Amino acid sequence: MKKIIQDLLDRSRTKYHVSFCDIRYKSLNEETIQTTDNVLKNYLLTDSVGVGIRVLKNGRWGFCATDKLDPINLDKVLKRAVEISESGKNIGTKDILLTKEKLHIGQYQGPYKIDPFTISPEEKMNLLFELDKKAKSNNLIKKTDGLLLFWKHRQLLMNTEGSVLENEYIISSGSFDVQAVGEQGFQNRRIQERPKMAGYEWVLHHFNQYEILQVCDEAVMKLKSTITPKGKKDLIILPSNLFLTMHESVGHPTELDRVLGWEADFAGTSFATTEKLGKFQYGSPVVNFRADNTIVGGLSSKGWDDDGVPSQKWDIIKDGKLVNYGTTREVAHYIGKNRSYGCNFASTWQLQPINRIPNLFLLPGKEKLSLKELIADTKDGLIVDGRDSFSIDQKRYNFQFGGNLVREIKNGKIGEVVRNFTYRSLSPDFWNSCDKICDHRFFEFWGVLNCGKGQPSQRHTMIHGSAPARFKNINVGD
Amino acid sequence: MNYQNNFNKICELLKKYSTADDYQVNYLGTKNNLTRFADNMLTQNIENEYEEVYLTTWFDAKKATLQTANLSEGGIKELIKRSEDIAKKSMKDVEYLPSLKNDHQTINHNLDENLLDLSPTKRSAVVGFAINEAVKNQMTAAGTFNSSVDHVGVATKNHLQKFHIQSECAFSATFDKCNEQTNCRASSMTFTDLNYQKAIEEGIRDAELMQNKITMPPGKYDVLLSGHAYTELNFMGAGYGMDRKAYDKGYSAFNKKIGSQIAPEHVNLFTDPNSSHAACKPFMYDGLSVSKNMLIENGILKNLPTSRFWGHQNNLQAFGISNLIMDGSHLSDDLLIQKIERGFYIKDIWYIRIVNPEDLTLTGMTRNALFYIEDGKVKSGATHFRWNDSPMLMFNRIKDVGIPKREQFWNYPSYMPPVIIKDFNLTSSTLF
Repeated sequence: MKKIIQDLLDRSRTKYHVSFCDIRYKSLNEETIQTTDNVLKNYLLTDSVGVGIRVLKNGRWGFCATDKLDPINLDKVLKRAVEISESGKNIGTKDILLTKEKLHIGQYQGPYKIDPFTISPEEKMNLLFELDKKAKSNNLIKKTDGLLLFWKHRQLLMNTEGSVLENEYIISSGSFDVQAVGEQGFQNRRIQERPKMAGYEWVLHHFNQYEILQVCDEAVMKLKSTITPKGKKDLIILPSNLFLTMHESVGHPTELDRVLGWEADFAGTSFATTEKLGKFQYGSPVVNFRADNTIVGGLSSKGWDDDGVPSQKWDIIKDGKLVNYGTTREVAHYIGKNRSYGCNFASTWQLQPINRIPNLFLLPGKEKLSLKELIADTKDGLIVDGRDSFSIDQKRYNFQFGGNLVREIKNGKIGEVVRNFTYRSLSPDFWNSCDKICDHRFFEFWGVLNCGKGQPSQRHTMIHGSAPARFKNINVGD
Repeated sequence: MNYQNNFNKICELLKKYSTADDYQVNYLGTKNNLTRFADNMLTQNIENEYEEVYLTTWFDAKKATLQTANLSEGGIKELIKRSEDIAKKSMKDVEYLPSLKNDHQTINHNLDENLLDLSPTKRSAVVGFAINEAVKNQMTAAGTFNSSVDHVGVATKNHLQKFHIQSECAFSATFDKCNEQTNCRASSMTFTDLNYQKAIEEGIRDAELMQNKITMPPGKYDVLLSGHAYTELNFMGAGYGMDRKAYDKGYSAFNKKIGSQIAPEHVNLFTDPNSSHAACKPFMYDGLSVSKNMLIENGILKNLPTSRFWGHQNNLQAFGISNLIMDGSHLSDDLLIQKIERGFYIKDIWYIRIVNPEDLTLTGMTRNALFYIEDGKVKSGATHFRWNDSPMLMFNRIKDVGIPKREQFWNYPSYMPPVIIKDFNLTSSTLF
């Protein structure tokens, strides 16, 4: 394949005179096992292989993709990509410009111990059916939903700058929901998905962190609860919930393409506009956000992005101030950068890559502080575990999130479980209300498997990590 | 590429090589174009074409579904072998029912052949027109123009074999003037019927109207939801809450409501793939024929989508949602606005998620054009709101409906009217 791709790249320059061309060969295997109660709803094993060719000529992109990989067809696809690019000549008021990037040659192998594709489907299904059996021993649990996902990616990216980049990695994820049903209505609790760049061992480890009977008891506690908190409360938010709030209220607003209006028609724009860079107090001084696509096991740690830029580590928010963005080679120059941070990814070979959120972390507090101490320090609050509903406006100001298991805190002690909990704020107000973050001992990461963005919609994966953090006077229960 | 021939060949190979007790094969052959623009420049320009096959195999009710894009004889043979090997080692599907038999359904394609090879130059011209209009009006434009032709086939061991072709083209643009954004869209099964020029005119007009804007307090207001906004709300509501098994098992928001009046008598909500207004594939993934099915008739909740297994076990007719259609009226948007004393015209809603599945409360934001109405007239633009409300409970608060319009929601077409909803719950403001 390398030889075929190199020939195509050579022709893109000599015959079609493009200013840039890259060719991405991608193979993606996905295994999905989905159960409802004791029913195998879905066992799906997919195998998608194809090539996407991206050319830049006269400042206009052309992209064409195919699953017919013979050299004659690929030559036609290259020609078509050039035609598409040429059709855009004189359309629009600006050209696409790319920041420079050195030539890179390398291979990246994501970490894993057990290849999930070597484990029998039966064994994997049993994992979920056993959980169902145990869950149903609680007679108020009327429904369960299990889901196992395994992805194997292999990619070869080559471009006219001479880069030859190969990566291969596995992503594993498992989740299990239980639904308690009674006269009071119905409420759920879950073993939340926690995807990681890892093998089957990760799902076994993750499920072992939970006692399913306790998960069921918690669903019943929610069902029987009559407490629906309203008003202003101090919230201690655990990483299992905070990761999604970080994703939506910091990750997306600091994607530079959004800031520039490139996603205005669907995914939206951002309040974190470029004139605020270096000045805007996004959060309180304890709030520090760091992007890191070099961390081992991170879902966005792939060696290089689809622009051929190596993975990097950089600050987005420092001491509460907005200091940087996630960038691609197309947008980095808009903020005066001469190099991209490497955030350009396409979810499949059929699509052109776009600016995505990197692995992003809220750094732990610098002072020693345990979760127990933080709870003891809270008079009238709630502690929020697990994700639930999530929604945010198109400029990423007004958000509303739910929580999967939420308990009251009264005078420094954990109290009753509540139901139908939501919290709502404006992103900068929320991050500026953060007064304490537990220290590094309590840091943990959670993963996002289906970050949706783009037209047509593409998914991307990344992890977000934090320690438990406290937010003062937050609106709950609108 | 002759997609139907390719599908027929695959069916023949299945007949020849499959040793399974039962099987179902699903085929997709698709060609997609998309030109994307933002900040008055072209940002993406894509074409892709691919075929894929999903084979579900059963041995003694144990099942597995495998997919491949390798449609050569060797590729299909390999798919059959792997699928059968895995199915034998799989678990019993306790809801297994034999695959469907041939029901001799008549299938009409919805194809505009012009969309099979819409040239990049034609696509660029549409986008160029939008950008030029934006520049002329001191605005920036972002959006897409896309077209697709999907060839979908399904066949079973029990001699069912169906094939359907659907073309679709859609234009969407967001115009920005002084940080006020408005969106316009048009979709159609044919390129000639795609009135993107009219949509652009509306988007630009709305952006001008939004320049004069006020901030109102949150609260319960009478609102006019555009056909587009109401389509989004109902598809999300249907996705989260409409399932007969959940209803019968007690975990549906519609609990005990079948047969009850949940909306005014003029409200009829149904699915009908053969409706000329929102024509679509007339069969489900398993090949089950879909015809007209009433969800709400004369305001009474009649039925909820029912799987084959649940229908079989409970003697109910199985059906799914292929599109959503609601009866409208001849009232224009202007006449509907005249009926609102104090409220809002919500043209678009965004980021809709379930908050409380027990009563189907959803949350979301208003987006793009939002107009404040006083004494039956649009007074100004308005600062956006978060809302928390239930489309199920809202049915009873429908005061009036307008002229329906075709919309495309992901892969589902719809034909929904704008509606006036009483006491729509706007819970908080945002900063723009």
